[in-house]
Amino acid sequence: MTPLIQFKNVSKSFGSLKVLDQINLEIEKERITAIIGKSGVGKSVLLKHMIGLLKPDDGTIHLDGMNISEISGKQAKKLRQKFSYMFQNMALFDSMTVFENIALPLQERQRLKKNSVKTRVMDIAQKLELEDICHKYPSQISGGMKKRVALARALITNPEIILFDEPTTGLDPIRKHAVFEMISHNQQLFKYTAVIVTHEIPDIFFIAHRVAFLDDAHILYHGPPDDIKTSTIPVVQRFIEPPYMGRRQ
Amino acid sequence: MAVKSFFQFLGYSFIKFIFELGHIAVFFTSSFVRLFKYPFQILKLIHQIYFIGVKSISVVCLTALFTGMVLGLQGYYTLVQFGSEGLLGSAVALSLIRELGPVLTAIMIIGRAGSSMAAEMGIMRISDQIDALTTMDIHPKRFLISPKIGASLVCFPLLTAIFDVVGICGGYLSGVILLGINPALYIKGMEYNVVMNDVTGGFIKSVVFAVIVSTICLYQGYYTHHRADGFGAKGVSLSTTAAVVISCVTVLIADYVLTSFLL
Repeated sequence: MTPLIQFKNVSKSFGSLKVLDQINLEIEKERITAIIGKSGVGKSVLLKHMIGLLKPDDGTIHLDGMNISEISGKQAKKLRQKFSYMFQNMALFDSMTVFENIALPLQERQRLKKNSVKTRVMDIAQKLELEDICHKYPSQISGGMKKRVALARALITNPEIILFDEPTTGLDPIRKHAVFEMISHNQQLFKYTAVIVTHEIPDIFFIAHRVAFLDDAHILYHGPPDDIKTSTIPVVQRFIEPPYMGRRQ
Repeated sequence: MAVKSFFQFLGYSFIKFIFELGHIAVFFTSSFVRLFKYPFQILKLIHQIYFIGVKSISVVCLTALFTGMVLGLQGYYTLVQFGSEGLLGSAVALSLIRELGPVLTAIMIIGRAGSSMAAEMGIMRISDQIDALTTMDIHPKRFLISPKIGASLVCFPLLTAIFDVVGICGGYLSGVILLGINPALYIKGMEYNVVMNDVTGGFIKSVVFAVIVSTICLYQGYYTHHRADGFGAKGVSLSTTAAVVISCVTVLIADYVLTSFLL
């Protein structure tokens, strides 16, 4: 399988704190890759490098074979149009309504006519059960609803690559499964490449084709989700099988 | 040793200051240029003109009225000692048109709109809204900064003009109506002593202040995350304070520099 995004010896520090240390990672095209790991180990930092929000201190990141730190502004713009990013804290524009939030990439990036924008927004709003709150502002809706609005905004442009930063945190189990199901279903339908940062174990193993485990600034495991269960690395084992599991039996 | 470290500190601070100035200049230029890039953001520009300009009219009028009245009062009691109370109209008009109009209008807008622009940018920064624009391939400076700079360039001179007119009326109120100066003297004095250069100078100042205020306030908010002395809500609060203080001080310094060139 062709790697779409390649990290080659990428390092990143914030002050004296080394978050990524000589990271090598390959994200396969048209596949779902999950990045898992403890809180605060730098999973979101890894994700932000993929879209160019953060630049590595050392090493290179290749997208479609191109080194993204060496490409021209026009090429970077072209590449960025392939991406969508769903932020961990949603990053919804609080001075815009839900409808305007979802419609923004269509209006600004694709410059569609009002009617087609409305049709597409209402279509995705219906799929994500957001039709009734389209006129509301983000401050007037619940955390779970905000998640779905952010998800709708990420999916609306039918991007080739979608980066999800904890898309299900704060959702109830039914909606959590619905979100994962939708990501998986749409991925099969539109063949986009998805990178999901998550803590949802074992749910993510059912939809991910590859799993990368990040800990202590290194990728400790990268491979199919089935194989991670047989990993002998203690920290990986502890993460995927928490100690309380099985105590009740 | 102490002397060496003092000069090291001085040098470091100076280099940092120059670097910051360059950064601010690039920030303004890149945002201003994007104002003329297609698709034009006419609606956003109008919205910002409403926010910065229309909503500031009442506070500007109120400040102007009382400033003019105080000038009339103080001017009268000073001029009457020399038997020159007939010059009150020109004294009030020249003070307002040349100095107080542009400076006080700028300070009023800093308090009302500048602080709010800095806080808005800061909150958008810490809640990843600016990064979200980047990921959507929407240039944040074009989308957020350019309309505000454009609106400031439109609103500052207009509000200054309003300030001047209302201030002159305030001077008339205290000088003519309350203290009994001949109204013809007040008006004719203005007519004879105020020349077009005074008016042009005042407007040049207001345009320069528009650039200074909008750039500093937006810059402080936009780069809230670069602050070393505070993160999150504290960072936003520090950025807003810095925006107001730096803008006010810079306006006063720029006023002196411009006056020395314009006189």
